[in-house]
Amino acid sequence: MACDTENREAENMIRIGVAASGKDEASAVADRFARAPFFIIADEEGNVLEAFENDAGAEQHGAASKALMTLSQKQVSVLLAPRMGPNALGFIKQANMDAFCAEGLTVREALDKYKSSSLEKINK
Amino acid sequence: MNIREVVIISGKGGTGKTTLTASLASVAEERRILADADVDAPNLALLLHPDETDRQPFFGMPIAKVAREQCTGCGICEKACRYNAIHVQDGKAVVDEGFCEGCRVCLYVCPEQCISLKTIERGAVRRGDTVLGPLWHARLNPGGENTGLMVALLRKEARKEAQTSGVSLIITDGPPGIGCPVTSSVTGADFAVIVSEPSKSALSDLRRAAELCGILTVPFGIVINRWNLSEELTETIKKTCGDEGWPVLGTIPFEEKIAEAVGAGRIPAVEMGNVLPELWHAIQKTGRLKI
Repeated sequence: MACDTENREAENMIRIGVAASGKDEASAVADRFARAPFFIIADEEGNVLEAFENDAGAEQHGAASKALMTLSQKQVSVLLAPRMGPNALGFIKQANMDAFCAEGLTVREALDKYKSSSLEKINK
Repeated sequence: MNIREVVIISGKGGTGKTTLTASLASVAEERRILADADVDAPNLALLLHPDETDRQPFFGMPIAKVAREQCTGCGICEKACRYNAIHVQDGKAVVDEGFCEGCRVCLYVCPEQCISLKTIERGAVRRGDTVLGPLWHARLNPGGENTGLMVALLRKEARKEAQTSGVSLIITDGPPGIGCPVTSSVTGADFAVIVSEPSKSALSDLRRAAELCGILTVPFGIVINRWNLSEELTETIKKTCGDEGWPVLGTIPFEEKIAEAVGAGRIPAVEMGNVLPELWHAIQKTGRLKI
């Protein structure tokens, strides 16, 4: 754990995970979090690092914990989503993650608004 | 095209979600699409009598499958299974498909590595035409259970059809409780109607349903069904709603003619009288459904 923290500090990175309806930054933020079709990962400056299909969407139950497990393994600590269910909120509290409301925006707009601190926090 | 989706939930089961869903749909002026997300007990079709137009198989969670020729019958999987779902019979491990939860522990412990996961057909997602508009619903095979995935699938189909056919209203009959399928029904909806009734458990479940809507940031309002069965408890519910700032959209009385209509498989729209259009008006207004 200590090692993880050091790495994170060394690279000085906060990774942002956006629930997205498509693979690129022009696509809309998905209308739900855990069963979003894709996740897009970006750095704090808003540069897109990676986009991947969300296989947690195919889970019968517990899609949120599976999606968040994948995201946290990819060192994501900030989430941009339309909203979050009770299980997702419990997970991010335990994992020290933060989530911000990006409903109705494109992924690009969401990342820009996060950078300018104009998104509302979901986990209060 | 801006699509508005209203979901009817209750927390407690049996408060009249399905009856209210069908009745509201019958007084809505605009074209609408209906979805029955209560897949464990899908009963909207009982009132709407759909003519089936489409049926797609639904695959549930994957469960364990044993490659019999490689199995040595050692019984390690049987000891490890927490669900009592795998047993050695005649020297080979056999999975009880009704009990397997797909936890994968048998895959993990099997020394022969002869167990894999397979998805099995659990039911069907269906579309039918009804007098009130298209209905998306599902039927599960015995042993299947409603899941967030299935609800998400039904809502996606309803929304897709609304988009392609230019329909602006979706009315969803939600499942009871506040668990996974309910969360999946409410998330992203434009408005939730919580149907309560004057009973102690309904009030406690109303509170939980309201909290869920709060977490999911879905605006909601409350309908008290069969209010005259206990005027005292109806007052308690109204007072709770007032204290919490939850809007009460209206009340529906218990009347024998309503129960008889439902019993005969009819939508009790006529029997409910003026209560119904007033309720729909309150939903449209509180939920800002007209833009």
